[in-house]
Amino acid sequence: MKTENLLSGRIALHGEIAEIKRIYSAIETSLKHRESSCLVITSSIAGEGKTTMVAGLAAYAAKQPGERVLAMDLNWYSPALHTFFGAELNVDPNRLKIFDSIMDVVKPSGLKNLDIFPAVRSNSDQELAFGESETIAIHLMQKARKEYSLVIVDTSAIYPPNRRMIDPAIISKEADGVAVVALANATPREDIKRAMKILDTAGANILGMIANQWKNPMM
Amino acid sequence: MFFHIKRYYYGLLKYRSWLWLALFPPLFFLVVSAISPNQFSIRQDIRVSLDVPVALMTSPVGYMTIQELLSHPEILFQNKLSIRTLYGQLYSDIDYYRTDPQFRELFLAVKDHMTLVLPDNDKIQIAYQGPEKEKGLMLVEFYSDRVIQNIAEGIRRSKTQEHSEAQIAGVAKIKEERIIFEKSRMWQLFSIAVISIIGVMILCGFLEYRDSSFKSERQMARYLEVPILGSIPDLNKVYASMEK
Repeated sequence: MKTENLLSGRIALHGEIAEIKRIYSAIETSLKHRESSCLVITSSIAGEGKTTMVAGLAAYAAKQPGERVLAMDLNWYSPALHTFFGAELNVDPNRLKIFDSIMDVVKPSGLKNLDIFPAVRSNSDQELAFGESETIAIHLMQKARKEYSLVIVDTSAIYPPNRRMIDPAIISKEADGVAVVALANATPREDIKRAMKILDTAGANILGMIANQWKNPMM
Repeated sequence: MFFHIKRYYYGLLKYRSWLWLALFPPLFFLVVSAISPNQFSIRQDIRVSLDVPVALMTSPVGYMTIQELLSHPEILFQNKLSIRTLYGQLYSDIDYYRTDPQFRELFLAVKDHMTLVLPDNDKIQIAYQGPEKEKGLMLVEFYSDRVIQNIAEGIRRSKTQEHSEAQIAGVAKIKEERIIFEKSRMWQLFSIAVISIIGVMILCGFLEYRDSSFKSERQMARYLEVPILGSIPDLNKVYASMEK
Protein backbone atom coordinates (compact mmCIF):
# COMPACT_ATOMS: atom_id res chain seq x y z
CA MET A 1 0.00 0.00 0.00
CA LYS A 2 1.50 3.39 -0.96
CA THR A 3 2.54 5.55 1.93
CA GLU A 4 0.55 8.59 0.81
CA ASN A 5 -2.77 6.73 1.07
CA LEU A 6 -2.14 6.04 4.70
CA LEU A 7 -0.71 9.46 5.40
CA SER A 8 -3.46 11.60 3.92
CA GLY A 9 -5.21 13.22 6.83
CA ARG A 10 -2.09 12.92 8.98
CA ILE A 11 -0.28 15.90 7.52
CA ALA A 12 -0.53 17.81 10.77
CA LEU A 13 1.49 15.08 12.47
CA HIS A 14 4.17 15.24 9.79
CA GLY A 15 5.66 18.34 11.31
CA GLU A 16 6.06 16.58 14.67
CA ILE A 17 8.34 13.78 13.54
CA ALA A 18 11.85 14.18 14.95
CA GLU A 19 13.58 12.77 11.89
CA ILE A 20 11.89 15.31 9.61
CA LYS A 21 12.90 18.12 11.93
CA ARG A 22 16.52 16.99 11.76
CA ILE A 23 16.43 16.78 7.99
CA TYR A 24 14.95 20.27 7.79
CA SER A 25 17.67 21.59 10.08
CA ALA A 26 20.39 20.01 7.92
CA ILE A 27 18.85 21.43 4.73
CA GLU A 28 18.44 24.87 6.25
CA THR A 29 22.11 24.88 7.22
CA SER A 30 23.12 23.75 3.73
CA LEU A 31 21.02 26.48 2.14
CA LYS A 32 22.87 28.96 4.33
CA HIS A 33 19.72 30.51 5.79
CA ARG A 34 18.84 32.52 2.70
CA GLU A 35 15.88 34.83 2.68
CA SER A 36 14.23 32.99 -0.17
CA SER A 37 15.18 29.43 -0.96
CA CYS A 38 14.08 26.85 -3.45
CA LEU A 39 14.64 23.19 -2.68
CA VAL A 40 14.02 20.33 -5.10
CA ILE A 41 13.31 16.84 -3.77
CA THR A 42 13.86 14.05 -6.26
CA SER A 43 14.86 10.38 -6.42
CA SER A 44 16.38 7.90 -8.82
CA ILE A 45 13.24 5.83 -9.36
CA ALA A 46 9.57 6.19 -8.49
CA GLY A 47 8.16 5.21 -5.11
CA GLU A 48 11.11 6.15 -2.92
CA GLY A 49 9.25 8.68 -0.74
CA LYS A 50 9.77 12.07 -2.39
CA THR A 51 6.23 13.31 -1.86
CA THR A 52 6.18 12.12 1.75
CA MET A 53 9.38 14.05 2.33
CA VAL A 54 8.08 17.20 0.63
CA ALA A 55 4.87 17.16 2.64
CA GLY A 56 6.70 16.57 5.90
CA LEU A 57 9.33 19.23 5.35
CA ALA A 58 6.74 21.76 4.21
CA ALA A 59 4.51 21.07 7.22
CA TYR A 60 7.40 21.55 9.64
CA ALA A 61 8.98 24.51 7.85
CA ALA A 62 5.64 26.37 7.93
CA LYS A 63 5.79 26.28 11.74
CA GLN A 64 9.10 28.08 11.87
CA PRO A 65 8.93 31.77 12.72
CA GLY A 66 9.06 34.05 9.69
CA GLU A 67 8.60 31.28 7.14
CA ARG A 68 6.07 31.29 4.32
CA VAL A 69 6.23 27.99 2.55
CA LEU A 70 4.99 26.75 -0.80
CA ALA A 71 4.94 23.02 -1.59
CA MET A 72 4.95 22.64 -5.37
CA ASP A 73 4.05 19.47 -7.18
CA LEU A 74 5.98 19.42 -10.45
CA ASN A 75 5.48 15.68 -10.89
CA TRP A 76 2.71 16.08 -13.46
CA TYR A 77 3.25 12.57 -14.80
CA SER A 78 2.36 10.90 -11.49
CA PRO A 79 1.07 13.58 -9.09
CA ALA A 80 0.53 12.77 -5.42
CA LEU A 81 1.20 15.86 -3.29
CA HIS A 82 -2.40 17.04 -3.48
CA THR A 83 -3.57 13.85 -1.71
CA PHE A 84 -1.64 14.81 1.42
CA PHE A 85 -3.61 18.05 1.70
CA GLY A 86 -6.96 16.96 0.35
CA ALA A 87 -6.67 19.34 -2.61
CA GLU A 88 -7.78 19.04 -6.22
CA LEU A 89 -5.42 19.10 -9.18
CA ASN A 90 -4.99 22.25 -11.26
CA VAL A 91 -7.10 21.73 -14.37
CA ASP A 92 -5.86 24.04 -17.08
CA PRO A 93 -2.18 23.95 -18.02
CA ASN A 94 -2.59 26.77 -20.47
CA ARG A 95 -3.59 29.09 -17.64
CA LEU A 96 -0.07 28.65 -16.30
CA LYS A 97 1.34 30.50 -19.32
CA ILE A 98 -0.49 33.75 -18.61
CA PHE A 99 -0.90 34.26 -14.85
CA ASP A 100 0.50 37.40 -13.22
CA SER A 101 1.21 36.21 -9.72
CA ILE A 102 1.84 32.77 -8.28
CA MET A 103 -0.91 33.52 -5.80
CA ASP A 104 -3.39 33.10 -8.68
CA VAL A 105 -2.58 29.43 -9.06
CA VAL A 106 -1.75 28.20 -5.52
CA LYS A 107 -4.22 26.80 -3.02
CA PRO A 108 -4.36 26.88 0.78
CA SER A 109 -3.19 23.70 2.44
CA GLY A 110 -5.19 23.97 5.62
CA LEU A 111 -2.03 24.62 7.65
CA LYS A 112 -0.90 28.10 8.61
CA ASN A 113 1.84 29.67 6.43
CA LEU A 114 1.75 26.77 4.01
CA ASP A 115 0.27 26.85 0.51
CA ILE A 116 0.39 24.19 -2.12
CA PHE A 117 0.68 24.20 -5.87
CA PRO A 118 -1.01 20.99 -7.02
CA ALA A 119 0.06 19.32 -10.21
CA VAL A 120 -1.68 19.94 -13.48
CA ARG A 121 -4.24 17.48 -14.78
CA SER A 122 -4.16 17.72 -18.53
CA ASN A 123 -6.22 15.93 -21.13
CA SER A 124 -5.46 15.38 -24.81
CA ASP A 125 -6.82 18.70 -26.11
CA GLN A 126 -4.97 20.68 -23.44
CA GLU A 127 -1.66 18.87 -23.63
CA LEU A 128 1.43 21.06 -23.53
CA ALA A 129 3.87 21.02 -26.40
CA PHE A 130 7.01 18.95 -26.03
CA GLY A 131 9.55 20.83 -23.87
CA GLU A 132 7.02 23.45 -22.79
CA SER A 133 6.59 21.90 -19.36
CA GLU A 134 10.11 22.64 -18.15
CA THR A 135 9.81 26.25 -19.28
CA ILE A 136 6.55 26.68 -17.40
CA ALA A 137 7.98 24.89 -14.36
CA ILE A 138 11.03 27.13 -14.17
CA HIS A 139 8.78 30.17 -14.63
CA LEU A 140 6.60 28.97 -11.74
CA MET A 141 9.61 28.45 -9.49
CA GLN A 142 10.91 31.92 -10.22
CA LYS A 143 7.53 33.47 -9.49
CA ALA A 144 7.17 31.44 -6.30
CA ARG A 145 10.48 32.63 -4.88
CA LYS A 146 9.19 36.20 -4.98
CA GLU A 147 6.26 35.38 -2.72
CA TYR A 148 7.56 32.65 -0.42
CA SER A 149 10.59 32.32 1.83
CA LEU A 150 10.85 28.59 1.10
CA VAL A 151 9.68 26.71 -1.97
CA ILE A 152 9.86 22.94 -1.79
CA VAL A 153 9.43 21.19 -5.12
CA ASP A 154 8.25 17.62 -5.56
CA THR A 155 9.47 16.25 -8.88
CA SER A 156 9.38 13.11 -10.98
CA ALA A 157 11.98 10.47 -10.50
CA ILE A 158 15.02 10.71 -12.73
CA TYR A 159 14.44 7.20 -14.14
CA PRO A 160 12.87 6.08 -16.34
CA PRO A 161 12.86 9.22 -18.51
CA ASN A 162 9.48 10.01 -20.01
CA ARG A 163 8.71 12.70 -22.58
CA ARG A 164 5.60 13.72 -20.65
CA MET A 165 7.39 14.41 -17.37
CA ILE A 166 9.13 17.54 -16.23
CA ASP A 167 12.76 16.51 -16.12
CA PRO A 168 14.08 17.03 -12.58
CA ALA A 169 17.64 17.31 -13.87
CA ILE A 170 16.66 20.41 -15.87
CA ILE A 171 14.68 22.21 -13.18
CA SER A 172 17.18 21.34 -10.43
CA LYS A 173 19.53 23.91 -11.85
CA GLU A 174 16.97 26.61 -11.05
CA ALA A 175 16.84 25.55 -7.39
CA ASP A 176 19.24 26.49 -4.60
CA GLY A 177 19.69 22.87 -3.68
CA VAL A 178 18.61 19.33 -4.42
CA ALA A 179 17.99 16.56 -1.90
CA VAL A 180 17.76 13.03 -3.25
CA VAL A 181 15.54 10.50 -1.48
CA ALA A 182 16.60 6.86 -1.59
CA LEU A 183 14.63 3.87 -0.39
CA ALA A 184 16.92 1.62 1.62
CA ASN A 185 16.76 -2.12 1.02
CA ALA A 186 14.97 -1.56 -2.28
CA THR A 187 16.71 0.62 -4.83
CA PRO A 188 19.91 -0.74 -6.39
CA ARG A 189 22.85 1.47 -5.54
CA GLU A 190 23.91 1.67 -9.16
CA ASP A 191 20.61 3.39 -10.05
CA ILE A 192 21.10 5.95 -7.31
CA LYS A 193 24.68 6.59 -8.37
CA ARG A 194 23.61 7.13 -11.97
CA ALA A 195 20.90 9.56 -10.91
CA MET A 196 23.36 11.54 -8.81
CA LYS A 197 25.72 11.69 -11.74
CA ILE A 198 22.98 13.04 -14.00
CA LEU A 199 22.10 15.75 -11.50
CA ASP A 200 25.73 16.66 -11.05
CA THR A 201 26.29 16.86 -14.81
CA ALA A 202 23.18 19.05 -15.16
CA GLY A 203 24.70 21.54 -12.74
CA ALA A 204 22.47 20.87 -9.75
CA ASN A 205 23.67 21.72 -6.24
CA ILE A 206 23.27 18.36 -4.49
CA LEU A 207 22.86 18.99 -0.78
CA GLY A 208 22.79 15.33 0.14
CA MET A 209 20.81 12.12 0.50
CA ILE A 210 17.76 11.35 2.57
CA ALA A 211 17.41 7.68 3.47
CA ASN A 212 13.90 6.29 3.60
CA GLN A 213 14.03 3.27 5.88
CA TRP A 214 10.41 2.26 5.30
CA LYS A 215 11.33 -1.09 3.76
CA ASN A 216 14.51 -1.76 5.71
CA PRO A 217 13.98 -4.43 8.38
CA MET A 218 17.45 -3.81 9.73
CA MET A 219 16.37 -0.41 11.08
CA MET B 1 31.23 -7.53 11.53
CA PHE B 2 28.00 -7.39 13.48
CA PHE B 3 26.39 -5.47 10.63
CA HIS B 4 27.15 -8.29 8.20
CA ILE B 5 25.85 -10.93 10.61
CA LYS B 6 22.67 -8.90 11.06
CA ARG B 7 22.37 -8.48 7.32
CA TYR B 8 22.82 -12.23 6.77
CA TYR B 9 20.16 -12.94 9.39
CA TYR B 10 17.67 -10.64 7.66
CA GLY B 11 18.68 -12.17 4.36
CA LEU B 12 17.74 -15.61 5.72
CA LEU B 13 14.38 -14.21 6.79
CA LYS B 14 13.86 -12.59 3.40
CA TYR B 15 14.64 -15.76 1.47
CA ARG B 16 13.25 -18.24 3.98
CA SER B 17 10.88 -19.64 1.36
CA TRP B 18 13.96 -21.12 -0.34
CA LEU B 19 14.64 -23.27 2.71
CA TRP B 20 12.10 -25.74 1.35
CA LEU B 21 14.71 -26.67 -1.25
CA ALA B 22 16.69 -28.31 1.54
CA LEU B 23 14.07 -31.05 1.71
CA PHE B 24 14.71 -32.25 -1.82
CA PRO B 25 18.11 -33.95 -1.44
CA PRO B 26 17.07 -36.07 1.59
CA LEU B 27 13.78 -36.99 -0.09
CA PHE B 28 15.64 -37.83 -3.28
CA PHE B 29 18.02 -40.02 -1.29
CA LEU B 30 15.14 -41.84 0.41
CA VAL B 31 13.38 -42.46 -2.90
CA VAL B 32 16.50 -43.59 -4.74
CA SER B 33 17.65 -45.88 -1.94
CA ALA B 34 14.14 -47.35 -1.71
CA ILE B 35 13.85 -48.12 -5.41
CA SER B 36 17.47 -49.08 -6.08
CA PRO B 37 18.35 -52.71 -5.53
CA ASN B 38 20.54 -52.90 -2.45
CA GLN B 39 20.72 -56.59 -1.80
CA PHE B 40 21.82 -59.23 -4.26
CA SER B 41 21.25 -62.92 -3.84
CA ILE B 42 23.56 -64.97 -6.07
CA ARG B 43 23.29 -68.74 -6.02
CA GLN B 44 25.22 -71.36 -7.89
CA ASP B 45 24.05 -75.00 -7.88
CA ILE B 46 26.57 -77.82 -7.87
CA ARG B 47 25.32 -81.28 -8.62
CA VAL B 48 26.87 -83.74 -6.15
CA SER B 49 25.74 -86.53 -3.79
CA LEU B 50 25.96 -85.92 -0.06
CA ASP B 51 28.40 -88.70 0.76
CA VAL B 52 31.08 -87.54 -1.67
CA PRO B 53 34.42 -86.86 0.12
CA VAL B 54 35.82 -83.32 0.21
CA ALA B 55 39.51 -82.72 0.83
CA LEU B 56 40.50 -80.78 3.94
CA MET B 57 42.83 -77.91 2.99
CA THR B 58 44.39 -77.89 6.44
CA SER B 59 45.63 -81.46 6.02
CA PRO B 60 47.53 -83.18 3.21
CA VAL B 61 45.53 -86.38 3.55
CA GLY B 62 42.34 -85.54 5.42
CA TYR B 63 38.85 -85.39 3.92
CA MET B 64 35.25 -85.13 5.03
CA THR B 65 31.84 -85.65 3.47
CA ILE B 66 29.65 -82.99 1.93
CA GLN B 67 27.16 -83.55 4.76
CA GLU B 68 29.85 -82.70 7.30
CA LEU B 69 30.96 -79.69 5.28
CA LEU B 70 27.41 -78.38 5.29
CA SER B 71 27.46 -78.38 9.09
CA HIS B 72 30.72 -76.36 9.13
CA PRO B 73 30.80 -74.17 6.02
CA GLU B 74 33.47 -71.91 7.56
CA ILE B 75 35.98 -74.71 6.81
CA LEU B 76 35.44 -73.89 3.13
CA PHE B 77 34.90 -70.14 3.24
CA GLN B 78 37.13 -68.87 6.02
CA ASN B 79 40.07 -70.99 5.10
CA LYS B 80 42.96 -68.52 5.05
CA LEU B 81 44.68 -70.30 2.19
CA SER B 82 41.54 -69.89 0.04
CA ILE B 83 41.25 -66.25 0.84
CA ARG B 84 44.95 -65.68 0.19
CA THR B 85 44.56 -67.38 -3.17
CA LEU B 86 41.55 -65.19 -3.94
CA TYR B 87 43.42 -62.10 -2.79
CA GLY B 88 46.32 -63.04 -5.06
CA GLN B 89 43.94 -63.32 -8.01
CA LEU B 90 42.46 -59.88 -7.33
CA TYR B 91 45.54 -57.96 -6.32
CA SER B 92 48.95 -58.62 -7.80
CA ASP B 93 51.10 -58.14 -4.69
CA ILE B 94 50.38 -60.82 -2.10
CA ASP B 95 53.48 -60.39 0.02
CA TYR B 96 51.97 -57.73 2.24
CA TYR B 97 48.51 -59.19 2.48
CA ARG B 98 48.59 -59.31 6.28
CA THR B 99 48.79 -55.53 6.58
CA ASP B 100 46.63 -54.71 3.59
CA PRO B 101 43.15 -53.51 4.62
CA GLN B 102 41.80 -54.97 1.39
CA PHE B 103 42.64 -58.48 2.65
CA ARG B 104 40.63 -57.88 5.80
CA GLU B 105 37.81 -56.42 3.73
CA LEU B 106 37.80 -59.53 1.55
CA PHE B 107 37.84 -61.79 4.60
CA LEU B 108 34.88 -59.97 6.12
CA ALA B 109 32.96 -60.06 2.85
CA VAL B 110 33.38 -63.82 2.71
CA LYS B 111 32.60 -64.31 6.40
CA ASP B 112 29.47 -62.13 6.38
CA HIS B 113 27.96 -62.88 2.99
CA MET B 114 28.86 -66.40 1.86
CA THR B 115 26.90 -69.53 2.77
CA LEU B 116 26.61 -73.15 1.71
CA VAL B 117 23.10 -74.57 1.53
CA LEU B 118 21.41 -77.81 0.58
CA PRO B 119 18.45 -77.13 -1.70
CA ASP B 120 18.09 -80.79 -2.80
CA ASN B 121 19.58 -84.15 -1.89
CA ASP B 122 21.57 -84.27 -5.10
CA LYS B 123 22.99 -80.79 -5.11
CA ILE B 124 24.52 -78.09 -2.94
CA GLN B 125 24.38 -74.37 -3.43
CA ILE B 126 27.11 -71.76 -3.01
CA ALA B 127 25.25 -68.57 -2.04
CA TYR B 128 26.13 -64.91 -1.71
CA GLN B 129 23.77 -62.47 0.04
CA GLY B 130 25.13 -58.92 0.09
CA PRO B 131 25.20 -55.43 -1.38
CA GLU B 132 27.82 -55.90 -4.13
CA LYS B 133 26.74 -57.71 -7.23
CA GLU B 134 30.09 -57.97 -9.02
CA LYS B 135 31.95 -59.06 -5.93
CA GLY B 136 29.23 -61.59 -5.16
CA LEU B 137 29.50 -63.10 -8.63
CA MET B 138 33.25 -63.32 -8.31
CA LEU B 139 33.08 -64.99 -4.86
CA VAL B 140 30.42 -67.49 -5.95
CA GLU B 141 32.46 -68.43 -9.02
CA PHE B 142 35.66 -68.75 -7.00
CA TYR B 143 34.16 -70.93 -4.27
CA SER B 144 32.22 -73.04 -6.76
CA ASP B 145 35.49 -73.85 -8.49
CA ARG B 146 37.11 -74.39 -5.10
CA VAL B 147 34.46 -76.87 -4.00
CA ILE B 148 34.75 -78.84 -7.22
CA GLN B 149 38.57 -78.96 -6.87
CA ASN B 150 38.29 -80.03 -3.24
CA ILE B 151 35.79 -82.75 -4.13
CA ALA B 152 38.11 -84.06 -6.86
CA GLU B 153 41.02 -84.07 -4.37
CA GLY B 154 38.79 -85.69 -1.73
CA ILE B 155 37.88 -88.53 -4.11
CA ARG B 156 41.58 -89.03 -4.87
CA ARG B 157 42.48 -89.11 -1.14
CA SER B 158 39.69 -91.53 -0.27
CA LYS B 159 40.91 -93.88 -2.98
CA THR B 160 37.36 -94.80 -3.89
CA GLN B 161 36.17 -94.86 -7.45
CA GLU B 162 32.45 -95.19 -6.74
CA HIS B 163 31.82 -91.42 -6.51
CA SER B 164 31.38 -89.23 -9.56
CA GLU B 165 32.89 -85.79 -9.51
CA ALA B 166 30.85 -82.68 -8.84
CA GLN B 167 29.52 -80.59 -11.66
CA ILE B 168 28.32 -77.02 -11.99
CA ALA B 169 24.56 -77.13 -12.65
CA GLY B 170 23.51 -74.26 -14.87
CA VAL B 171 24.45 -70.59 -14.51
CA ALA B 172 24.41 -68.62 -11.28
CA LYS B 173 20.99 -67.23 -10.41
CA ILE B 174 20.96 -63.56 -9.49
CA LYS B 175 18.09 -62.03 -7.59
CA GLU B 176 17.84 -58.33 -6.77
CA GLU B 177 16.11 -57.23 -3.63
CA ARG B 178 15.01 -53.83 -2.50
CA ILE B 179 14.78 -52.67 1.06
CA ILE B 180 12.40 -49.73 1.31
CA PHE B 181 13.96 -48.38 4.47
CA GLU B 182 16.46 -49.56 7.02
CA LYS B 183 17.94 -47.96 10.10
CA SER B 184 21.45 -48.01 8.69
CA ARG B 185 20.43 -45.27 6.28
CA MET B 186 19.58 -42.80 9.06
CA TRP B 187 23.12 -41.50 9.40
CA GLN B 188 23.42 -40.91 5.64
CA LEU B 189 19.99 -39.25 5.63
CA PHE B 190 20.98 -36.97 8.50
CA SER B 191 24.27 -36.04 6.81
CA ILE B 192 22.53 -35.24 3.52
CA ALA B 193 19.90 -33.15 5.34
CA VAL B 194 22.55 -31.16 7.19
CA ILE B 195 24.59 -30.56 4.03
CA SER B 196 21.51 -29.50 2.04
CA ILE B 197 20.41 -27.08 4.78
CA ILE B 198 23.90 -25.59 4.86
CA GLY B 199 23.87 -25.38 1.07
CA VAL B 200 20.55 -23.54 1.02
CA MET B 201 21.75 -21.17 3.74
CA ILE B 202 24.81 -20.41 1.63
CA LEU B 203 22.49 -19.82 -1.34
CA CYS B 204 20.40 -17.39 0.75
CA GLY B 205 23.57 -15.58 1.76
CA PHE B 206 24.62 -15.37 -1.87
CA LEU B 207 21.22 -13.99 -2.92
CA GLU B 208 21.41 -11.38 -0.16
CA TYR B 209 24.97 -10.50 -1.15
CA ARG B 210 23.79 -9.91 -4.73
CA ASP B 211 21.23 -7.38 -3.51
CA SER B 212 22.94 -4.09 -4.25
CA SER B 213 20.48 -1.85 -2.40
CA PHE B 214 21.71 0.12 0.59
CA LYS B 215 21.14 -1.30 4.04
CA SER B 216 22.43 1.60 6.09
CA GLU B 217 23.20 5.29 5.90
CA ARG B 218 26.87 4.53 6.33
CA GLN B 219 26.86 2.47 3.15
CA MET B 220 25.11 5.34 1.32
CA ALA B 221 27.64 7.88 2.51
CA ARG B 222 30.64 5.71 1.61
CA TYR B 223 29.41 4.69 -1.82
CA LEU B 224 27.83 7.97 -2.97
CA GLU B 225 30.30 10.30 -1.24
CA VAL B 226 27.60 12.86 -0.39
CA PRO B 227 26.30 14.00 3.00
CA ILE B 228 23.40 12.11 4.52
CA LEU B 229 20.89 14.76 5.51
CA GLY B 230 18.87 12.33 7.55
CA SER B 231 16.81 9.21 7.63
CA ILE B 232 13.06 8.68 7.95
CA PRO B 233 11.73 5.52 9.57
CA ASP B 234 8.63 3.52 8.68
CA LEU B 235 6.14 6.35 9.13
CA ASN B 236 3.17 3.98 9.45
CA LYS B 237 4.61 2.71 12.70
CA VAL B 238 5.45 6.23 13.84
CA TYR B 239 1.91 7.44 13.24
CA ALA B 240 0.48 4.38 14.93
CA SER B 241 2.46 5.15 18.07
CA MET B 242 1.72 8.89 17.91
CA GLU B 243 -1.99 8.31 17.58
CA LYS B 244 -2.16 6.02 20.61
